[in-house]
Amino acid sequence: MPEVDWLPLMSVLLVIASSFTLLINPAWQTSLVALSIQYLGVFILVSNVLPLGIAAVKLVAGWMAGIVLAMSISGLLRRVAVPQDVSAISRDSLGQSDSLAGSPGWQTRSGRAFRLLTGLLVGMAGLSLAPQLTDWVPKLSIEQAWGSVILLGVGLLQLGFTIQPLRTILGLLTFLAGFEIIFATAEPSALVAGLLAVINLGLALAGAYLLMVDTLGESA
Amino acid sequence: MNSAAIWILAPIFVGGILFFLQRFEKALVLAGAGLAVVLALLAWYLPIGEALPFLPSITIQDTMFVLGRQFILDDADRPYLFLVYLMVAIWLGGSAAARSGKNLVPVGLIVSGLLTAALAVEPTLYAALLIEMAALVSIPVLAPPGKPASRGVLRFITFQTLGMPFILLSGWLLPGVVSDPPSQRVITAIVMLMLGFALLIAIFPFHSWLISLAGEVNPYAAAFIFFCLLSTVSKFGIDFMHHLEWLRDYAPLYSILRLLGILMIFTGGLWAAFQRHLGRMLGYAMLVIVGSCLLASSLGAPAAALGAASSTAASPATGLFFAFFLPNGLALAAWALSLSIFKNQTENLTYRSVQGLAYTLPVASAGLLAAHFSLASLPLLAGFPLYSAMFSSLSHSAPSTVILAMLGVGGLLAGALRTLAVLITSPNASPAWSMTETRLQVIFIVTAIFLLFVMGLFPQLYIPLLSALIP
Repeated sequence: MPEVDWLPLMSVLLVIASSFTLLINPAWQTSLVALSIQYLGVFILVSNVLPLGIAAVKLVAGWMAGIVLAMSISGLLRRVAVPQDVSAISRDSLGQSDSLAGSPGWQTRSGRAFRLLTGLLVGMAGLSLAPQLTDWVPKLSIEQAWGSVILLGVGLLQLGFTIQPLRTILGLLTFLAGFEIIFATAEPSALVAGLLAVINLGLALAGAYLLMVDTLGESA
Repeated sequence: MNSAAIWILAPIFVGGILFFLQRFEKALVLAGAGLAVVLALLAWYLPIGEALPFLPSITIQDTMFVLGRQFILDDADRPYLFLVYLMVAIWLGGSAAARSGKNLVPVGLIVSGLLTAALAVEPTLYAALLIEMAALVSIPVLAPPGKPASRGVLRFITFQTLGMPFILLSGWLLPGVVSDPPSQRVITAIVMLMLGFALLIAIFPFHSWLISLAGEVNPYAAAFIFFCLLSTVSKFGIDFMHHLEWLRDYAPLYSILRLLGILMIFTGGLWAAFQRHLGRMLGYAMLVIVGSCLLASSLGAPAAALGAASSTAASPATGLFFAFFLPNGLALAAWALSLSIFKNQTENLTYRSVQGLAYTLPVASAGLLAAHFSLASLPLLAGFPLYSAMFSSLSHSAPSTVILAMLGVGGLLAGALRTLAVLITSPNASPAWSMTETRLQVIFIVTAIFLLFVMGLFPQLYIPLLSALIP
């Protein structure tokens, strides 16, 4: 019986669980925790093909992106709460509001069920396409292919479901994470990894800015 | 001294500093536009790779090494650098008149530097990463503080970010040499490349972000960022094609470019004819500009791609592609500036809101109409000589498609006529004339109108310079 390498399989499961949490769960705190777990899965998947230091860049950049978004949301909640002296209940309701959750219908049970079903459909289609991806990128293992297609598919789904800044940025980060697994195998270069890390951080900063932009001072 | 330090690092560095000096608005515009003029003049006068005529001990090197990669700006790039920084100077200079926000000058300089870096970097696949960075940097301009982020901005980031992986992957997949017929891997790479370009510069069917952006955000900022992206990505695409000999001679590529170009001109013009929002009308005009760029690049097929004996020389029609840069850029700037002036005075840019504005904003209305008519190829204006040359060339290579392209341009013209009718139809029975534009706005718009006429009447003045950009 061939020996099974459990670590890549576990990381694929991590990636699936975290990306589906991002797709289904409307709470921003849970989403950002799921994002950080997703980057842990990506780190394990790319550590086979990249030196550990460069693979860690992806992990650190992903976590920093999550922290940037978390800080901006908590800053936004403080800004809204402090000057108008609103109660903790109002702040909670802002935290659950459409602007942070996704879009109207994102929080309803039927909305979650619909997203779960479409996610499963996309996931199954992705898993069946993954072997073909390994033909295109010969060094890509099947686990890496599974992880990347799931992230690409679920990221695109998130983008399709929302018009809100936070969810759009989370969808883009998820999509890019999937792409990074493929490209790390195809082009294991330190400069590419570094530039992609900068882009991940840039996306998070852009998301943080867009979340807070209407509360900032008026432009000229 | 190094060419990349002058035309890449200097604007990024100065743009970074100007971010912190936004309190001094006039000085900011002067510094930004002044630097762009200096960079354009340096591109005009300074030879790269040779000793300077007035300081023989100094030579500007054409290559800069960063982490083992090269940024190359050689002597052949000087006409393009001159043109790009000249246009940046015009746009940044006009930002004070457009009141498009204090962020535009620093962001404009940083975006110009990053996009120049995208054209200079070797291997070319890194360009996609730099273009994405430029798109991210431009967010503060498209979503100014104090207003909620529009859907157009989110779509813009989404499409730019989705486009980057396709170009990176195609750069990795594409081999330097291909035996005939091209393999499935090569076809996949070309499809990915075209998808990447389509997402980045709003080629059909990925054009929705452009219309959204033009309709929702400050028109001047949107048009500036779009023009920068379009010129860089188009130049990148043309260089890419000329870099790979087999791709340059690959005939189906030109057919696809022609088909997409005609489709975009036709649909953009058709939608413009029925549009009732001036911002979105600008978006459709930008679609026509993208279409004309694609069509012009398809006319640059070398003889080998057309089935003749092997030849690597590009057709003279390639020059047409670059000749579109200046008149389109100027018309776009005049149009966007006029719309920004409208937007500062009206609730929104729907026909109902701008009705009769020609009586209170006559110069801005004239600027908008001159730019619109120029892009719709009205005789005497800058667009006419180029569109007529393009249609003439197209009538030889694909005569049946000329009608569709002309219908598209006709649609844009119909949109201009409708706008004219709306602007001069005042809701009041006897409207009074007044001129409420500032002196700066009048100077910029009148100069732009004058230049549009000069370029239309004397195309021989600038077309040879732009045709020299052929790689």
